[in-house]
Amino acid sequence: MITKLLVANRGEIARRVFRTARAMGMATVAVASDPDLGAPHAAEADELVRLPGSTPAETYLRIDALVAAALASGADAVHPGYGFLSEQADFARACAGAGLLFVGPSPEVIEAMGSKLAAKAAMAAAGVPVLPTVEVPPGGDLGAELERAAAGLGWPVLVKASAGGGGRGMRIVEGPGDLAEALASAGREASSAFGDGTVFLEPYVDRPRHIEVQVFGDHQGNVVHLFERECSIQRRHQKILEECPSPAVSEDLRAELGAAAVTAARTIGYVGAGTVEFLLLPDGRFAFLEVNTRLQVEHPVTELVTGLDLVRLQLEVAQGLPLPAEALEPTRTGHAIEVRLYAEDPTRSWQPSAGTLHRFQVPEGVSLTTTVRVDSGVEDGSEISVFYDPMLAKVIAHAPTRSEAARVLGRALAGALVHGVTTNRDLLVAILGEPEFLAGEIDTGYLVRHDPAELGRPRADAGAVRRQALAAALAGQAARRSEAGVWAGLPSGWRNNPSQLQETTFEGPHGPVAVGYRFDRTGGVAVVAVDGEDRPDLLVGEVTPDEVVLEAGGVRRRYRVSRQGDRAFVDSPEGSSTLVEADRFPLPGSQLAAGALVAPLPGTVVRVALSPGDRVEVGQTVVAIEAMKMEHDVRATEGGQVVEVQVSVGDQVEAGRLLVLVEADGPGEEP
Amino acid sequence: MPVLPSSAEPASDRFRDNREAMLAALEVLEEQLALGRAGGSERSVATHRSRGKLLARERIELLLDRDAPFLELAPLAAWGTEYQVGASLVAGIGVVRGVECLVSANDPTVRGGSTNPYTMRKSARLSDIALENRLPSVSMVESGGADLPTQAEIFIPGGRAFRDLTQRSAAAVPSVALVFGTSTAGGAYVPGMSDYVVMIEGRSKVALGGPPLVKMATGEESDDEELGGASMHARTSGLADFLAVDETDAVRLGRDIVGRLNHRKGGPGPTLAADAPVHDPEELLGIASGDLRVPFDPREVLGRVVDGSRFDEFKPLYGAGLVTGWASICGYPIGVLANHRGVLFSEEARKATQFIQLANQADTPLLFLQNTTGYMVGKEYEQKGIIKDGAMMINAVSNSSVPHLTVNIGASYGAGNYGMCGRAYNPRFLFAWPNARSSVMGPAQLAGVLSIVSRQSAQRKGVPFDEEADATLRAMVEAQIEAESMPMFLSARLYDDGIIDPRDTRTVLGLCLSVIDTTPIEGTRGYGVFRT
Repeated sequence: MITKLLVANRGEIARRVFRTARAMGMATVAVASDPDLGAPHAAEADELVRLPGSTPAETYLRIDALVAAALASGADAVHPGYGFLSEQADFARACAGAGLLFVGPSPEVIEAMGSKLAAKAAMAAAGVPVLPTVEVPPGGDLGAELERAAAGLGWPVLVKASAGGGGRGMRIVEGPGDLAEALASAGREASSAFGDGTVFLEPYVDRPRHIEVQVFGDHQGNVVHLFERECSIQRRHQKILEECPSPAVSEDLRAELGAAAVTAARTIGYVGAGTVEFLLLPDGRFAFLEVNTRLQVEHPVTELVTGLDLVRLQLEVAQGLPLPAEALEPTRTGHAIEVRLYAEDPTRSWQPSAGTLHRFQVPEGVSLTTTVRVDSGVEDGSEISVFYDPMLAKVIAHAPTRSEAARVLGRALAGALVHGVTTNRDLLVAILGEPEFLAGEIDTGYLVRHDPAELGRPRADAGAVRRQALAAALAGQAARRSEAGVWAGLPSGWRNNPSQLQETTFEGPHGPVAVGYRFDRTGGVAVVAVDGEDRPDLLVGEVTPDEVVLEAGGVRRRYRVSRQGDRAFVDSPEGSSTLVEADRFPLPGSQLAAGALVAPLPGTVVRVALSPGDRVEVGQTVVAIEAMKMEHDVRATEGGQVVEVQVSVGDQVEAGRLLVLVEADGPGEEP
Repeated sequence: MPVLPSSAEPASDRFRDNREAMLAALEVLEEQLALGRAGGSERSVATHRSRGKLLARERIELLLDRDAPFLELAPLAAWGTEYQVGASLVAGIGVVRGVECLVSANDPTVRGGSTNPYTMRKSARLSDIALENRLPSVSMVESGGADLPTQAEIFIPGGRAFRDLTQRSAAAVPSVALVFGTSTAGGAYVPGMSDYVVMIEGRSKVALGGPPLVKMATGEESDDEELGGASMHARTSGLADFLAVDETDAVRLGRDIVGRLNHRKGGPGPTLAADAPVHDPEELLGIASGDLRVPFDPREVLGRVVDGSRFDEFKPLYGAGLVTGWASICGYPIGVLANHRGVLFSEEARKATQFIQLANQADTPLLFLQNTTGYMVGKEYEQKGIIKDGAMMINAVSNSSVPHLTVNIGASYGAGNYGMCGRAYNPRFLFAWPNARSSVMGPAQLAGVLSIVSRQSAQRKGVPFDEEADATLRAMVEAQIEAESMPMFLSARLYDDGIIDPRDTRTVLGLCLSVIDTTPIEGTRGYGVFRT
């Protein structure tokens, strides 16, 4: 019997597990690193144990600290969530050793499946189809033999972390020349993320579909599958959109996949929730990839389609209960799609964005036939830290049909208020309305075929942003007038001899927008100009500090405006934009010198490639910064000589921090 | 409080005629204002811009808090003279960092921003406003100094400007000078006398004498930078307190200085509800008579100016030619004196006297709405003591110490102008509507009086009276007086602070009442209120 459950995780999954635990009458314990002490997951549990430190290695990856936390709080069970220690056999073992019930399969099963290499071998033996493998000796030693073996797979090959997941430590290698660096960086990333740098090689399959099957086993020997999920839409090997059922899976194929998954699970005596991942090849064959011995990020699509609470099943099975009848004979209703809302910019190589999430509101709810569910780890005012995965939330829609689910989900995302950090929201909205996606023609190359910089471009086009800038300017005006200490009751910007408009310039997603306006003596707007042109076609309705009504081309729209310092967040039916207002009075010397290279995001300096006096070419990497588990190269924007290097390896840097100063070549100088 | 009813009939011929006449007058006004806004010649504006400089009005707009109103003062100074409309100086009252300030900027596109006799009068008026209302001043200086051909008119009285600056400073009314360009000779004393001085690197040049004058005086060879450069003044002479890198930076520094003045308003603040009038101010255009011989009810005006159109009339049944009563504008309580039928009889004069005393007792500012042809003349009235009664009213107005605001909404003739707080009676602010006229008497009456006098003179001398010459003379005189009674003629000479659109009356008065509220409001005490 579990009476008190500790969730050894953070963010949305911790909240997700707490929700079911509370519903089942369990007391809850959260753990939180220092940056997470004020996070929603930490606030929601009955009790909280602090994990001193910031990095995962100091906190959520510390088995001793987590076991101690469980014991200190009197928890009798531990749920690992996903990621972090969820697939560490040592953790399961340590829990058992401390008398704690670990919600997951046995340490042996985790161990067997935790090594992708070992798992593949076991499955092949059980008759589950697999891809060929080339093992890489520890340290990534590049013998000629390894290179030959790699070539034997046929270029390109895929480097994978044996302990990996979520695309971390994964690299596509086009040819032998790139192999060494790929192995080194994949190993480094795997080591940092999973504490195990072992990597191996597989043939790279071009444009497969990623299909996985949810399995469940209990202590009574039942093993079932709860249908498939399609997770083909990925960016850099990381899933961003998942659905159930897969539009590519026929009833026959579903039966085949399900049987293979159940065989795989039975082979290893699987107990609890697990996922068997397959590649579905263009020719209809499929191959085993790996078993994830945990609850998947994308489990909600299965929940919405089957009506089962997978966390509940996990907790029941962990307590020795048999799977209930509805799980043994699962049924499917309708179609569910999940998207992962990330704090990252798809138009700039997925650069993560950190900072304060001033506003986070996604319209959720249940109607007669459709459901929009939001599983989030954040709320208004949350700090998006550089230490963890930049996923803000999962938004899941369930509807009778796939196209309806896509529409409902797209609308919910478009109507969400997400202020303060750049997100992939517009890309997700675009995918959900994109014809190939709607036709079900998707594979893992989808976001290669559809350039994210193009597909993910801001939904608000230049015209819409001009209207949004006008709305932001007018709302700012209303705010200033409402706060005025003197003459507050007089008409805004009143002049007895007007000579110019009130002017505001914003930097927007499509460049600067200059807005001018003048109010008349009755409080109405007399003149509106954008980029120096009078715009009598833009009619202004009600103006408040939070909302402006504009009419353009006979269509009235509401523009919701919220301000944080010089940033205006505008949400309208035409899309959402962040507009940065130009300072009327920039401080002298506040402008960056030409040739100054700054940190694009907060993080840790992991490499400094150059020293003062060195020559640098355009595009050459100068400094590498690790943030959000990824390495980001800062490259020279012009050729010249390095004058100053302001950081060294290990430094924590804020976004915008000057890293290196380059003196550009003179116009006539030959480099 | 009772709400004023309205009997305005927007569909009536009279209303329409009035409105058309007012719109025509406003159009003429706008044409003249546009001349002033255009600055000097197109060429001089282009040259100024090509140097990367902001125009005078752009400098002011940049200085002001965004979206805060700005009341430009005397925009038609020097109208109808040989000088540019506006007198090469742009000025008004605006809000800088939440502080009401008197802001001015030389217009360097007009004869280098030099000071002519009208510039001098305008500056003097601005100086009075700053002192009376304790308004910090921000002067954006770029002036070639005195307009030398008119030095005779400027040199001696012009010295007052510097005395005023330092006396304001002594009264703790701060002054800030932002020097955008040349400020030589007399001009050098503007920064010299200001509390705070900002100069711009490479732009500001402040010296008693430029290189040619120095060469003439002592034979010394020197350059602009050595004599008066911003950098020199910031580092060597200490005349500049702050060195700005460019115009925007100078404005930023000016705003920061004002923000740090710790300036506080000394008045009681608005105390009443500040709701808009219930009647539409737009209708003022049709209410004010196009023909000044036709009186109009000032209650129709008040109903479109005061808060909620609420007006508590005092002594409504006595001296009905003058409407008196209490109201508020933008929450500031006021006492109102407004002419109704034009002529002031003894009763009106007595009523005004009593009401002015009551306002002083209650520390309430007074608003005068002028539409008067003057005090009644004639045997009966002289014998009943109209002079004594008029003198009593003028006495009360003169010695009243609550702030006065005056708006000429029609006629302001004769001693009525004095009794109704004309310019000589130092209202804090005086504005005129475009239809207003003011002179010693009506043009026709004045011409008629002259004609009668000359006819009498001819009779006395026994010479025949030339009727034809008299008619010509009368027409000439009438035309001249008509021209001289026009608001633009008066505005040009700083006899008012500006001509305003009647629809802006509430805004202008509300703004002025807030400005007045920077000083404590204390009425004259002494005797109790005389029940005159």
